[in-house]
Amino acid sequence: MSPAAASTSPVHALNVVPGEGILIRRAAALLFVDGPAADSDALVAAFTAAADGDEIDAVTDASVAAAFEVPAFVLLTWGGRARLVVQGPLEVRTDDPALPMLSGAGSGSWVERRLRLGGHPVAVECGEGADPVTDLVLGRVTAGGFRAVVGAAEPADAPIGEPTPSEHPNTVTPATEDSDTELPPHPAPTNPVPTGPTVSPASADPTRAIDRMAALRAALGTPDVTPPLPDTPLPDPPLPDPPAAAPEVDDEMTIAAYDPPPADGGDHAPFVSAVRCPRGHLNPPHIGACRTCGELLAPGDGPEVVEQPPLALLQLDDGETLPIDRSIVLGRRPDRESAQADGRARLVAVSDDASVSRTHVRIDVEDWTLTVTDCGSRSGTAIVTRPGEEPRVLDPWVPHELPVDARLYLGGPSSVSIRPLPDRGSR
Amino acid sequence: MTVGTRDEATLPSNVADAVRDLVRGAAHRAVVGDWAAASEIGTHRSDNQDAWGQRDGTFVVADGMGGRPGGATAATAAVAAALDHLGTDASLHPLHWSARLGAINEAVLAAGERAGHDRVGAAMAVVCCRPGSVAISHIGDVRIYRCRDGEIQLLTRDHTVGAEISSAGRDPSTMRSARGKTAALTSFLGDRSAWRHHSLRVLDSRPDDRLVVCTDGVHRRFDRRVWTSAVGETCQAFVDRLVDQSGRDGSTDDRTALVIRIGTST
Repeated sequence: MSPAAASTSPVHALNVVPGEGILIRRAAALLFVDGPAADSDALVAAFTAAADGDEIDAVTDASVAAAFEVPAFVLLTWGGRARLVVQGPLEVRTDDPALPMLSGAGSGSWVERRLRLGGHPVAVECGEGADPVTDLVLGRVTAGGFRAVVGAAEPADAPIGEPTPSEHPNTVTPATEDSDTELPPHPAPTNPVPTGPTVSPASADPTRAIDRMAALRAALGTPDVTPPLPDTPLPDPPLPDPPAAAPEVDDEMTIAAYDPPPADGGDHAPFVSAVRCPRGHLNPPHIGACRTCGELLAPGDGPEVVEQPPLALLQLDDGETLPIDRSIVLGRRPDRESAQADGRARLVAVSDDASVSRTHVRIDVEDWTLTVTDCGSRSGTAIVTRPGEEPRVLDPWVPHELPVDARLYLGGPSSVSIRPLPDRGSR
Repeated sequence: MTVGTRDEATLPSNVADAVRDLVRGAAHRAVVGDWAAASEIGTHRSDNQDAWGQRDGTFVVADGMGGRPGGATAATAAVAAALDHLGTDASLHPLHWSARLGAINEAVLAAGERAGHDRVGAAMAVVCCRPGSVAISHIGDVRIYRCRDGEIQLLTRDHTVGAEISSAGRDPSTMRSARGKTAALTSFLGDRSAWRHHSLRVLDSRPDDRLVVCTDGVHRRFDRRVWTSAVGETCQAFVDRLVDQSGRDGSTDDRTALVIRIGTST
């Protein structure tokens, strides 16, 4: 241990959760790997050999080199901007209201967010049962998780809030080869990676919405099936269990309480490929003219990776609007679990009309497309995408494309509309 | 098995009837107006490891993984099984859809075993045109684009190492460890578990939309000028142009494109 490191670090405490994984602390970073030591070698070697400040690049490089077939891990850095990286089905909770939970479940790679350390400490916790008498100052210990308090001020005693309702972790599929490329074979772990008793199953991937089937299948209890024969009748589509009561969620969003995300937006958005017009407007790849200003885009303009911009506005019947830059769950008393939504989803109470279910529909952002999914509502959801068009009733749980200017009818007359962004025409 | 709703506070209503009273207009349903496909073997191949097929409004394109033996076997088996399992009467419920993709995966595995290959693999994309709706689904890096009003939109996100890194917010070209691996698939048919990561979405289809399904031999040489200049031609001329041009632009891989023009019936 290094007292010098401890005295200069803004980490007030690093408590250890008992377990069989590995927890390593450096001067301005910590790495927790959820698995036996033998499986953690590549990550640990990359982390310990990295130059100060390069820990994230080193560890994520090691993950890529292993075709993402590494044990689940959490990487927290606090030199300069604090960042949190999670790969695999671990659930990391913080008391930063902008980042209540982060998990890599459902993502084939990792997810990364910035922590806000403005004037007050932030608790970051993975697993439960951190021993308060432990305080790892530097070095490596076996652990099943950790609780770190990061920040300039004195740590608060307030416990981290209740976890977001969990979903089953999605399978992290192994990277293999494409038609031209064969990845070197990656040795299978000799021992299965144990799920530590203190590590909770994770929620769905906060950054990806394109594949909800795995999370849905698992959450609804469908076994890891050998698929039924083609003629075998499939069970009726199951409906999610209802919430016993609408949970009190800190960041539950109502229109009246809606607070636009901060300008930097760094902790909120997933990432998409985009091309930028000469005036700086972001556009989907492959289009020829800017959707905002009409400026022509040069064919050679390559896409860049940017944080997810809002694609449209959600407008309620009373005229209130909010930008759609992440999943939104609508209903009388919506909750994420019933909607199979990720932990970042906004909850919007839309109506007391009895034809609207508690959790009625979910709107998702998938790259440059909006989709809407009826969450098994009792009365159903109808969509009208263009004036004069016949209403179409959505198939429950099937994502449907949601174009700008569409109107969604929630069980009857209650409706919401999708409007273009103020500086953008209808697409 | 029937599972009733537990939201007892919700009074059931007939949303279709309720809304029909609010919006009055003529119905129009999406139908297949026209379609065509083209496929060319790559310059360094002994057999074309791409395959495509269609039946009653279901269109499938598959790309056998060249890094594994039996790529052509896998692609052909994937197309045949998809046409069997993903017909227009197939339920779109995600659980049902996933189970059917599992059956297709089993068919690919079985075809590989019959051909004496212990490892086969294929990427696949599917377009299901049914009265009033068009559903798309994909596994791997066979892509689906939509051409509408002069705009080309990619509707799928590749299941590749490069796409995974991008979705995590990093430019894969800046990662040393990713070099030579960005095109490697993270989800595909022909493995006991890797097929589970797949997409499914019902599109907002409009008359005269063109849906283009193509393998990486075509989309890696994507040239917007070629696509936009050819999209107004007949479906056959359009796909011929895509396949020919990608070859002239240096693609050595097998090249397959299938285009569907959405028509209208009222």
